[in-house]
Amino acid sequence: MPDFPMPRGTCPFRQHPGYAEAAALGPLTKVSMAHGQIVWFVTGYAETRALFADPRLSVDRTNPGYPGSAAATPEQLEQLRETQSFNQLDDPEHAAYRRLAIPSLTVRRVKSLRPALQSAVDDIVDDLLAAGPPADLVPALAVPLPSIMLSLLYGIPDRQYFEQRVQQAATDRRFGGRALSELSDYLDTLLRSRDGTGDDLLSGLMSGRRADQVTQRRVLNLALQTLVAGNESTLSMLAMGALSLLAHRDQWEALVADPGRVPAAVEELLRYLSVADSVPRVALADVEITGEVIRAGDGVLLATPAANRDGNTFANPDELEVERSARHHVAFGYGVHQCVGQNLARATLEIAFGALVTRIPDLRLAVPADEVLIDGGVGVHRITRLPVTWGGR
Amino acid sequence: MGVSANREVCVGAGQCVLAAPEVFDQDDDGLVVVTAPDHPDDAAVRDAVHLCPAGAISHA
Ligand code: HEM
Ligand code: SF4
Repeated sequence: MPDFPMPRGTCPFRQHPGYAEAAALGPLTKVSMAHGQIVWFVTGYAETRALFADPRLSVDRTNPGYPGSAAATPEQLEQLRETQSFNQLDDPEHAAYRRLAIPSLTVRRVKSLRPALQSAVDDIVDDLLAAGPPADLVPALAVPLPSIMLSLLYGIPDRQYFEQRVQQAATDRRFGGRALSELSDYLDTLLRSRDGTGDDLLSGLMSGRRADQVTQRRVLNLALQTLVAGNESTLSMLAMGALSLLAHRDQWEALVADPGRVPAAVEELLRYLSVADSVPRVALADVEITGEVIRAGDGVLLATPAANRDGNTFANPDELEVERSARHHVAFGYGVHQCVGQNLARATLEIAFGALVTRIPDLRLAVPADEVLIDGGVGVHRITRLPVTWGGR
Repeated sequence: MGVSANREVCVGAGQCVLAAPEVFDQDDDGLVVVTAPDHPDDAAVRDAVHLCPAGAISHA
């Protein structure tokens, strides 16, 4: 039985070797985690989609059997229960909170944020061009852009204060935690000042708070969780996405020739990179699937990188092909918890990659792709530097 | 006959609006509304049915 987590390998493009091995054992297999915990490891696309959509699978980590919870004490679980944010709650409680967030993240609302996102990206590219090559796209683009995206979504008045801390939360191993707790205080105060009438996310949350549908603590947790979820995943997609395009020159050139292909390329990059990695669940009842029975109390890991490279669903799954139609990928999950920020993420990635291919078409890596080290470990994976150059140098 | 959507189960992901903007929209609450229920069963509507994460859309 394979162990989980599996070593990631250093190639940013190849799937974890362990995931491919597990997938070769069948669409569902078992892996062994810390403390002797054995959980299901789901690698098939059809099975992953079905299980994401199955209400018998719970996201609540205080249920016994949840992956990684084997060593938790009852006191720890009790504490978790009180602070869990909506993404860690099952319906109907989850839905009550999610419905407060979705008005500020609809396709239309995101469209209204596009001009501000575009001008932020234009400024970033102006600065790159003014400073001249070489540059590092991680600090220049991948780190600041998600913080600006979140500023716009939240309707932040003191943008510099907020964005600085959001960036620190994602990048600073020593002080990231402190930045997050400062953000928590900041958002708490800001939330209390919103009357619930604006169309930003914090106003949306407060409209429910005023109507007393929800608690202040959970609303604050939602704002914080959304910040963390959107920050790290978007940062990772920007950095790894740019790296992937630049390392596959024909794919980059296809976008330079026709920037209208960028939206499809974003879907393909989401599939190819699957940065959210394995998503945990626990079964609350027996679930029969593909000849196996997941028993009540069994932990389940939905391995999105493997599902998104299932050869039955995606031809040549290990190839980056920006022209394929990849929209049915499970990089944003599926079912009622499917990423609530997906339209904002799409817009941000489209605008960023669109600006790079149109304004710096001769952009290229300044070091070989395999020298750009992957930040190891489980969870959102990412790189910490992306040296690039352009022009004659 | 026609396209219908169940707002009780909609999770506001907007996949339908992206797949078939001439048939679906999201209202101020972020929930799905069908703007063209008599739209013919074309590829865009089938995409929306397939992509909706909540199984909220049907076409009969
Ligand atoms: C760019 C890439 C992104 C990726 C790959 C991504 C991936 C995901 C995945 C896989 C889930 C489902 C988790 C589960 O089923 O348990 C999810 C949920 C979520 N995402 Fe994202 N996400 C991204 C961007 C964002 C952004 C920009 C935001 C917000 C600004 C955001 C906020 C959330 C929230 C709040 C949830 C929980 C939704 C729920 O439980 O109903 N994400 N995301
Ligand atoms: S795709 Fe489904 S869940 Fe998303 S807005 Fe449309 S109907 Fe609602």
